Amino acid sequence: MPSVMIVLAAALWGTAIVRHRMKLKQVRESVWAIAVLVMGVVYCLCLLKQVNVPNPVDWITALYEPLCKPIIDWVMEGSSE
Amino acid sequence: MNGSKKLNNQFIGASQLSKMLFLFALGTAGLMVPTFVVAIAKQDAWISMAIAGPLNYIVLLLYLALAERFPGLTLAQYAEKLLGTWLGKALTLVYVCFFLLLSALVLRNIVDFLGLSVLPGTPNWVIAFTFMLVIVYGAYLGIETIARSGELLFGWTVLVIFIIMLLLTNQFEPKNFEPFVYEGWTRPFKGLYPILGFPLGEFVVMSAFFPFVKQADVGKLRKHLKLAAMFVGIFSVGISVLLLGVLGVDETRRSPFSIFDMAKTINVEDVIVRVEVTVAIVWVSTVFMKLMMSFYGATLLAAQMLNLKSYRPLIVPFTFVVVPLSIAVYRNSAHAEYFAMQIWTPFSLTIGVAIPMLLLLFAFITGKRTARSKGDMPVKASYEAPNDSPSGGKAQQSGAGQAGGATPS
Repeated sequence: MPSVMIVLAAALWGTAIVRHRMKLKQVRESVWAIAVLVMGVVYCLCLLKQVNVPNPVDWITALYEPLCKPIIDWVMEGSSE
Repeated sequence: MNGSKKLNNQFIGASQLSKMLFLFALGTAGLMVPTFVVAIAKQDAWISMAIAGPLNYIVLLLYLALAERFPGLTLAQYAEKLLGTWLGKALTLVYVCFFLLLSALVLRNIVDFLGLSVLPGTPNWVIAFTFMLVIVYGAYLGIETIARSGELLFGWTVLVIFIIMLLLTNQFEPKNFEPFVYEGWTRPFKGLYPILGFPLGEFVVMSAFFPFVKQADVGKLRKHLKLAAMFVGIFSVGISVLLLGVLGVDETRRSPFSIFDMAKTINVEDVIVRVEVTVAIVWVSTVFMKLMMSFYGATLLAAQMLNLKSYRPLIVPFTFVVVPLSIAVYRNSAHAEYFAMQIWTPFSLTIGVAIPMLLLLFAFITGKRTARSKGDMPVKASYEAPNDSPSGGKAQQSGAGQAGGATPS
């Protein structure tokens, strides 16, 4: 049910954007807005269906943790006392 | 990017920008950073906060130097001028992603706070979605509206913090600060680590707002930013002193929202009690400003990157990204604390300080800068007509003699 609501809301909003921007002859704006909207809806649906979606926080942690480990260890030493 | 690209025709004053900066810095940082700093620096946390004050201003000077070199241009626009179209767009994409992630993290903080303390049992997505509705409306109305809300909220925030400070004086325990600098000056310096991550590294959001400052106020910008940085420093020190004096080291580092817990202890002769909700209101308003600024920055930079005539079509689609992202980013509170306290600092310093520093260095080496228009006016580059017309509309002159066109060098 939530996924249907999300798709419905996105479809309604997408239609509104396209209609309004087409009136203003802003094709580029409509295309990019729809592209981002579709991306967002897919992301929402993946979360709802519990598909393993990439988490940017995990990427950043994987990238920075090994690089900054010595500094982090030095800063954190004694912080749990 | 052509400098004449118009996305917004609104202007703000230097004092409005400084108030926005104050609220931005106090946003999540005011409520969460003291916990992290106290965990590292213990009773010397207030010294860490005091050291961070001047650093805030130094980082702001970096963005100001870029803004003065490329007047009227946002980070997306001068990145393209400096690095060329494609590399500039790639860098802008990095910043758009950073601003979106920042929005999601701030939204998650407020959702956690409201879910735990004010609205227990309410699903996270309901709080996130409701909060985003206000943000979407504010972003749609534009920078002037955001700045005016900032002016309103600034007064209330300062007033409430002062009242809370006064009401807590009867519980202040100076012994909580002993022993003073018990392990030398290393601990206070180590305590700087989380502060460097937020708010310091996040100040890069301000670079999206400098071009909107009225021409008449551009000269005052440095002074106002200095004042804002000073106020942020004073309030951060004040809050940490109060936290340590009232709650002590152990309770402060254990509490996820220590200021809220501190406000719970207010009791003046059993007459003034349970005033913590005022702190909650203030915190919601500062977070509102921070979220609004990062979300607005993301839509604006994305619109400039994609050469759009208006940033508005992107507002709602970005909401569909930020809300689920805010729910997915942290698995639990331990994960949130680990990321915010340890990983966020190097990441936000890379994006917020290292890259702008390299851009400035590159601009110095190559000698690139944007010429000012006639009468030493800044180049306006990012406007949108109020009626959202396809032509972009003519930039209205709300500033004194604001230049409407663009003259890239």
